[in-house]
Amino acid sequence: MKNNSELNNKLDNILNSINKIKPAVPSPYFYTKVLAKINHSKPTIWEVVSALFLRPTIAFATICFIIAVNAFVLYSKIDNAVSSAGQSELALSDEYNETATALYYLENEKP
Amino acid sequence: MDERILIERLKNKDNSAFKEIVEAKHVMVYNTVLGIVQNAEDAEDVAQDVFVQVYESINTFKQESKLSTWLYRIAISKAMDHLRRKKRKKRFAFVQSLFGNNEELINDPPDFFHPGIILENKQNAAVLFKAIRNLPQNQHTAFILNKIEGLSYHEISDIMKLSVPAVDSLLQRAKTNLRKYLMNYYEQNL
Repeated sequence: MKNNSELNNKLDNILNSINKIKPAVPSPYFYTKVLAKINHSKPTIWEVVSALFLRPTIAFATICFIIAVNAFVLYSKIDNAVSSAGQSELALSDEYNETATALYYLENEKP
Repeated sequence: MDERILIERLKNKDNSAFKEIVEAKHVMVYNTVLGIVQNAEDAEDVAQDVFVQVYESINTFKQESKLSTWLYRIAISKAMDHLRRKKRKKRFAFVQSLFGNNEELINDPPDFFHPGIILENKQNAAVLFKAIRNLPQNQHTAFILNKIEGLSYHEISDIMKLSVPAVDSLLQRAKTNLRKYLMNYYEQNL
């Protein structure tokens, strides 16, 4: 029992130990140091641009855009390749059909 | 001088107005940050960053609250960021040490002796500051603003954008948690 109240007193003393705290004072020339930081912290144009592109949202959007452009170019090339191959086949078959028909008509042509 | 005029002058990049604000508020900002980061050098560095941000973003200050309220908010946010960065560094150093890349581990910070505490209370206050480090962020902030800055519940509620009963509840929970932590501390160390 006595131990408990002793412990409680001790805890109260600790919790009250910062009650009459006085403000701490920073080292001198605080304002000069702040000014030095302001002058030092002005970023160059390249730092501003690189910081902009390093922002996660912008970086992610840029990557998505590049992937989309690549995918578009790739698919449009595949489509072109397929359609040009198809066209040449059609042209070839047309040409042979025309020839065959022409020959048939030539052979069956009445004198 | 009227605070509004001072802020208008600062918005027009009047350096003498900025100097007046720094001279008037630097002790307040420094003490708030010191209570949170518990290291004199770090606190000075963070307090300087607070004023750099004030200088750079004064045009975004809409004067809906007092200048000191705005300063407290920036100071708390910067100090908490500093603590998070420190914790992240410590975790990273620990992971590196597991892979044998970094032999020196960042140890727990030493006991913090606040310069504004009278000698007979220094040891008790150091134990209390150690316990405060373990509080959740909101309780930590409310406790520092109340005990170190001596702000009223109403002022704390303005700074933390909470209601007065919410601040009261935060402080009650902070005290309960501190008591629990100190109880454990004494059971283990005595």
